[in-house]
Parts: sequence; C-alpha cells; structure tokens
Amino acid sequence: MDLDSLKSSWRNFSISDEKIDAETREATRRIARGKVETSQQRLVAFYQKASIFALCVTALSPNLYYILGCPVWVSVIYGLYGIVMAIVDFWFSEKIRKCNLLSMPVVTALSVIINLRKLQKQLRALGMVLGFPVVGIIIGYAWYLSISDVLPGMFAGAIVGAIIGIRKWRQARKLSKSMQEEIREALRE
Amino acid sequence: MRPDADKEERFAAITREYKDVIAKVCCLYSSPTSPFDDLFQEVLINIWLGLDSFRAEAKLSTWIYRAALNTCISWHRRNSKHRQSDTLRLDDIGFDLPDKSPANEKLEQYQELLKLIAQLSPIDKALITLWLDEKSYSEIGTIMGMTSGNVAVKIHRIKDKLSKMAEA
Repeated sequence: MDLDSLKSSWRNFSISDEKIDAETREATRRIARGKVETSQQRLVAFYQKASIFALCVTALSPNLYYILGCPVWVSVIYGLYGIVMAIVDFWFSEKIRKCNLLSMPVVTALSVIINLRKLQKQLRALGMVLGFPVVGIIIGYAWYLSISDVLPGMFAGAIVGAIIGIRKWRQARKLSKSMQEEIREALRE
Repeated sequence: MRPDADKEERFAAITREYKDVIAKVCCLYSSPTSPFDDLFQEVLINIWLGLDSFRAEAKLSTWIYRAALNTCISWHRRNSKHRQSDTLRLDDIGFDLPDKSPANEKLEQYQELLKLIAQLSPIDKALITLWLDEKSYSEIGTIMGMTSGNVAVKIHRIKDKLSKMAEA
C-alpha cells in the first residue's frame, strides 16, 4: 500500500453535497428547536439526576425504622449512604461540566476523557462497594426480624452488586493504564 | 430562544468551508457503534455550542480540527476494536473523487486503508487523519498538543505499522 500516493489524492476526495446538506439541515433543525445538547451535557444531566435520586433514598430511610422495624442506627446508615452518593454524583457532574474539551489539544482532551471514564467506573464501583455493607446490615436485620420474603432478593442483590463492583474497578484500572501509557508516549519531547 | 443572526452566519460559513474536513474526520472514526451521521451531527452541534467561547487564541482551522477530533474520540462508546468488515463504506456516504477515471480502484484502496486505520488507537488515528490532510508536523503538533519532533516519529511508526498490516 503506497500511503504517500494515497495521501496526495485524499485531499481531492469529497463527500457528496447532498449528504452534507442533509446532515447540516438536520443539525440546524435541532439547533433551531433549541433542544441540542452535547454528550457531555447529557452526562452532566445524568449525574445531576442520580444525585437527586440518591437524596430520595435518604428521604425513604425512616421507613426502615417505622415500617420494617429496624433500629434507628440502621436507618441512619442507609440515609447517610444516600447523602454520600448524592454528594459524590453532584461533584462528578460538576467536574464534567467544567471541562472545555473542544478547545483543548487532542492529547490533553483524551487524557481528560480517560481520567473521567476511569473516575466514572470507580464511582460506580464505590457505590456498589459502599452499598454492600448497608444492604448486608438490612439483610441481617430482616433475618433477625424473620422477614423471610425479602431475604433471598437481598442476598442475591448484595452478592451480585459486590461482584459487579469489583469487576468494574478492575476494568477501570486496566483501561486507563494502557491509554495513559499512550498519552505519556505522545507527550514525550 | 432563536439563535442570533451573526452566530448563524459564522456557523454557516464554517460548515461551508470545513464540511469536507469534518466529514473526513468523522469518516475515519465511524463504526457500527458510532455511525457517520451521528458523529457528523454531533460535531456540528458541538461547534455551534462552542462558537461563543471561541476566542481566536488559536487559528479557526486548528479549533475546527480539535472540535472534530475531540468529539469523535469522546463519542466512542467502546474501546475494543471492531471487526474489519464493520468499517464504513465510503460509497455509502457519497465519497467520491472528482476525477472519475481511476476512481473505483482508488475508492477500494481507501476502503482498505479505512479498515486498517480503524484498528489504530485514538491518538494514532488522529495523527494519520491530520497527515492525510497534508498538515505540516508543526500544525499537527499544535492541534494535538505534541512537539513536531514527536509527531514526525509517531507518523513514521504509524505508516510503517499500516504498511505491515496491509501486507499481512
């Protein structure tokens, strides 16, 4: 394959005007409707909603005491878990929002993206790992209080959640290691 | 809220002048999970949304290349390599050479090149994209955030790698 010869005619390749005009019209229509957002903005919105959802978990925590009959401290731990996850999700949404990827040099932008992805997977893993003892405690009390209907589901959820969390943590480490090596090589003088 | 007329004019001028640049970048990053149409529109929308914050510290062409490349790289949902047979067909999106005579053979060669480029890492893909567009090593370095020396070394290695992949 003669790359230099291909390069000399690459500049002369063009996409059909019809295709371009169709895609540009579609993009312009979406812009005119005012309903455009980048994938970055969608991610910010996702984590803001996750933060609100986590606060709802906190709001429901008194039910563990009043309905399930668990001790107050179990209810408090469950509520605290919700607060921690709400803070973490909101912090992450702000971190994403403040990235101005468009103007960054490509290697810098890639480095930011990789670190955000790694952080995203770690936060998911953290949520599952922190959730495990919380769920474990509730399972323990459900067992103690002989609320047998919910026990199998609780056990299954706890085990599956822990396995998924650990796997995601390991995936995040592996992924970022190879990409960061490439970025380091690209930035070498 | 209706976009203002000045911004619309700038956006229209950019799409007219840089449509092929953006299309070629999207073409090289397209895959079954990142279709060309979605990528192209996402780049245009990002350019529209980013126009207000463009302060001309860099050349407009540098900014456009960065916007297109950064959008395509961040859009990728998977990091694993997809099957060679799943790369974009250039004729499906109306790619064409103005000179028709050796067009079919050249189109097949570019199709083959696309399959090989699809297997490169995001940084290598960006470098070869800019090299194919006849950007100087210095310009490539500015867009990428690398020294021109490092760009030269990397491009030499990428070309070597692509040649070996083509022979295999």
